[in-house]
Amino acid sequence: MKNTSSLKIIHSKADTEPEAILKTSGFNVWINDAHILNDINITIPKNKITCIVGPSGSGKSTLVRSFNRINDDIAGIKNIGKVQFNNNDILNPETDTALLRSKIGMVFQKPCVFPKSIAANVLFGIQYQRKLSEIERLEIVEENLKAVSLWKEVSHRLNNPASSLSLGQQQRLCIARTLAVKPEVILMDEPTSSLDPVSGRAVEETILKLKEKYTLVFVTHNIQQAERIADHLVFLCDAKIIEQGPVNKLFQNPENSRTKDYLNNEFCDC
Amino acid sequence: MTRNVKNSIFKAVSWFAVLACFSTLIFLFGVIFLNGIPAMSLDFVASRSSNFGAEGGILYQISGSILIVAVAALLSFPLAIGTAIFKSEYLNNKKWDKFSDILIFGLNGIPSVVFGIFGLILFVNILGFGISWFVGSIILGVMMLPTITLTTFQSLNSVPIIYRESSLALGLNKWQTITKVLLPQSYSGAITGLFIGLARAIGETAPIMFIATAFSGVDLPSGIKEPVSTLPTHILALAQQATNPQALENAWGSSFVLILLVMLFSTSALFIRKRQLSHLQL
Repeated sequence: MKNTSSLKIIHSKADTEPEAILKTSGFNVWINDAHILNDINITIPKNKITCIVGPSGSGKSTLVRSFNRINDDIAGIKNIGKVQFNNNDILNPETDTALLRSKIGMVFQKPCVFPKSIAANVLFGIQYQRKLSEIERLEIVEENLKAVSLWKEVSHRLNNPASSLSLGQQQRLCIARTLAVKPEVILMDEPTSSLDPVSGRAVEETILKLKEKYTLVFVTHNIQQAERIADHLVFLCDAKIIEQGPVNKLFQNPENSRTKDYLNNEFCDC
Repeated sequence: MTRNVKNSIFKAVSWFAVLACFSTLIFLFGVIFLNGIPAMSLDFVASRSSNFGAEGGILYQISGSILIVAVAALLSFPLAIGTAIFKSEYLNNKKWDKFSDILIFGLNGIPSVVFGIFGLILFVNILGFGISWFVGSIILGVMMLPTITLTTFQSLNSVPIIYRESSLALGLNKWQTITKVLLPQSYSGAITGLFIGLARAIGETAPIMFIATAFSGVDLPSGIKEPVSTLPTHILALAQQATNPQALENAWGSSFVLILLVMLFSTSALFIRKRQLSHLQL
């Protein structure tokens, strides 16, 4: 009797509070005098798709780009507060950013393939992490191109330049080379916004397939897309978090009227 | 004045500019070719000069010129690449960036004879190097620095930010990003700069005439503390004995060979530049 009740407690806790892989507390970003992110407290649940939505200029990109510290090189940037990845503070100046980025991968808005072959692009990141045998190389290329449903389209021309692919294929190749590094989290900054609708859908399907193995943080200003793919939603407006929670709750029963306005009418007066 | 008339005038003016430019160049090349070709023979380029250059060939002037600029390039290239990488990838303070621009453009603007005097005072008088082709290489290397630095910087800087971010996001560190992503995409810019620098350096007379060259009686140097003879300084020496028709013909011949070498470097630069452009459009 005692045992079952304690099990119950653990179970219900897991239901309401899924394990957080990324967490920010009191996180602020300034770029020179502009306050880009204001007191951000969010948790990113593990093995879920978290969508960050909000109007242009709300700080979505800055937030997602803080998780792998790719913002470091921006002149005049200042981070204050805590950003934790598996309970380690990644803002610590001693953090090995190269190692961090191999754990937290990123896909950008515009596909950017390196001027190399398709296969070489898949291997680009992983080959500098460790030595690969010829067989491993072939395996990694096949496994990751299959993961993004690109294998059938390109398996007969792996040595062709990556630039010969269509933009949508290039974006999926960018996802494949991110997967090859075996990250735990993949950050995606509007990865479909520079693609045509059909390619965009193909990338979306790829993303849905990935959520079993990876935690995804997805920035979009397309609310329908967020509704289609998100498990967890973060609504950001004017540098502040307005609301966050499970996607159904925010769409059906938001606590904040501004969330309702934005998700229904794409309108935000903050 | 109607717009059409303005349009025609503008077109005529730009045509005139092109014609003036090209005809000067063609005239110059024509004169050097016409006067230089009669002096050309295998004997001329493959034998040593005698009688202060009025007789014999220019073998050791050619070798001296090539030696002095090749070593200058070896000294200058790594420094210039390093400076360009630092300026493009590590320097993100605007004030210091402006300051580095002033330094580089300033270095490029120094008259060549000032370099010669500087070399004479520092290396020959203060450090007691004596007349040495290696000192000449150092000075020419310094003169080539701004050209190579700027072309390399420009081609590094023209690689879109997204390539840097994509590479960093895959877990490469900054150094790997520079060597594996940025330099392969901008190396032809660096080589272009190198050849432009070489083309300029091989024709320089003033910076090396006091410190690195002798006007006669030199062959291949056996150490770094020896002078060489070079084509430009040889032409200068021959021009001073222009009353001797044989010396004058050799001067034209030397000019012709020098022009050929300069053209070789410039067209290499042009060719590599074209390759880089087509590479970027891929």
